[in-house]
Amino acid sequence: MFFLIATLAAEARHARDRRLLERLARGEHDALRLLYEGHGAQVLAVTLRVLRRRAEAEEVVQETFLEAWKRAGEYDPKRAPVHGWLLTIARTRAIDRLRSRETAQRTADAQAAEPSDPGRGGPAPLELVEARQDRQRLQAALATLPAEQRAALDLAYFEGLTHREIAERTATPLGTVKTRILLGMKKLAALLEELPAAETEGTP
Amino acid sequence: MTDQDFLEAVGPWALGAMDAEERAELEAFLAANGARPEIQSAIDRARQAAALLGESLDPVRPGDALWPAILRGLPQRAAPPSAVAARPARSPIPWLIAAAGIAAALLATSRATELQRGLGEAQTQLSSARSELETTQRKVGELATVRTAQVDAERRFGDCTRELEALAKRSPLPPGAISLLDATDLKLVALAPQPGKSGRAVALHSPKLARAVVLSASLEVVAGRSLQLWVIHPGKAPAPAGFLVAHSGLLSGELDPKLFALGKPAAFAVSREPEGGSASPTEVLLVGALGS
Repeated sequence: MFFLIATLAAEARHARDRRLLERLARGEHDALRLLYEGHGAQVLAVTLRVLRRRAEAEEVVQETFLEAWKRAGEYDPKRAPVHGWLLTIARTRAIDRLRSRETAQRTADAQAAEPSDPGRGGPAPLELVEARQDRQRLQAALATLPAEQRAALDLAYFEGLTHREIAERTATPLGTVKTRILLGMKKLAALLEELPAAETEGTP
Repeated sequence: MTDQDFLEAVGPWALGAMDAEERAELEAFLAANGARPEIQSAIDRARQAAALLGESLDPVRPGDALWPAILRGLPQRAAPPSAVAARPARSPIPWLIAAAGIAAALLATSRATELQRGLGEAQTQLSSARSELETTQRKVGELATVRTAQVDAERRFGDCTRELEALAKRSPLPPGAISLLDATDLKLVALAPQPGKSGRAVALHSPKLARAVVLSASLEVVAGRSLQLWVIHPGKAPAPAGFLVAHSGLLSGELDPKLFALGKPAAFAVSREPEGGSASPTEVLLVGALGS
């Protein structure tokens, strides 16, 4: 019963997000606020993980929601759920900003990395229980990836590194890095099919 | 690059891991083939798979100044919906400036010394009033922030309550589903959308009872068309198994129990058909494979 409710709750959230995007396309500011309340904290988590600087990360969150405001009419629910669409915009903008920094600066940042902002970090207090449970299940599933694959995926997704750059950073043969990324992405694709009901039987 | 090469490469490409030459080769393939639905679908799935890495992070609460900054950046600026319309505090400054002006004018009279003292007092009062005004403005600002946070919390609480109420309204599941919930071997089968289709469904399946009920909250109902259920046995054509119908805000339907007597099914499916159904599926929307 729990997983049924989780599945239905996820569907209800996605349906609500789609309606918000429709309202956003009609220029309703209140819809943007609700979208921000629902996803702003997750978007900030991604931009902060990429940029590791709170002020810059919040600027990218701002840019992300302004872009969502401008491009709401282009959103196609068949192509991605709303939260995935927002995270893709945010991650792309954050990586662009990261690349614009000097390589030396980026290396220094990585060495002095702040994984999060302990002062103001942490989950939003009124985050829906279902969303938190979905994320915990996703984290548990990702934890089953071999550490090398997960590290290679993280370097590509959160630091914008290519195969060759990952090979140089980790002093690993290029072919090995490509294999890790390939296998890791295949596992992520399989996970995607199983979510949000990770305990369900397989899907095609 | 063949389709198979593309399907292998699309994951690393969506992740942004490809070096320039690899990316150029894949993007040349996309220039020629990107409009094909199966290619578009593979791209979408790869991007969603990559986004799981971001979705897995614990959320980080944005600072209070971020939402007002977003609002300010909108092409047509609007006041935050929850902002408190604080009436501006009535400033005592114009009064005191006038008083100081009058005092200065009177300074020219023979009572200069006395009035000069009056001017000094007025200036002191002016300075004090300025300070008081700044304090008041700061307090109004703090109150507005507190009020905004309170309204935000109330709004979020309302959202949560509405969502729970919506779920509660759906809780009267169809009777067939309720009786299945007691099955000791209950399994859930996720029915996923086919390329180019949307919506999801879940099937409650008890192999021991040889019964299954399909539920969906997101499939679109189209007038004059039926949502038909199918049971697929290994190596056989899909067998019509009933229909999804609206029930308490959910679409639900029990798969024809007789079909389970033919052996263990390989998959369940939902299709959109002309009203009354078809002998074989024409527009398959969702498919869910059963595990071993």
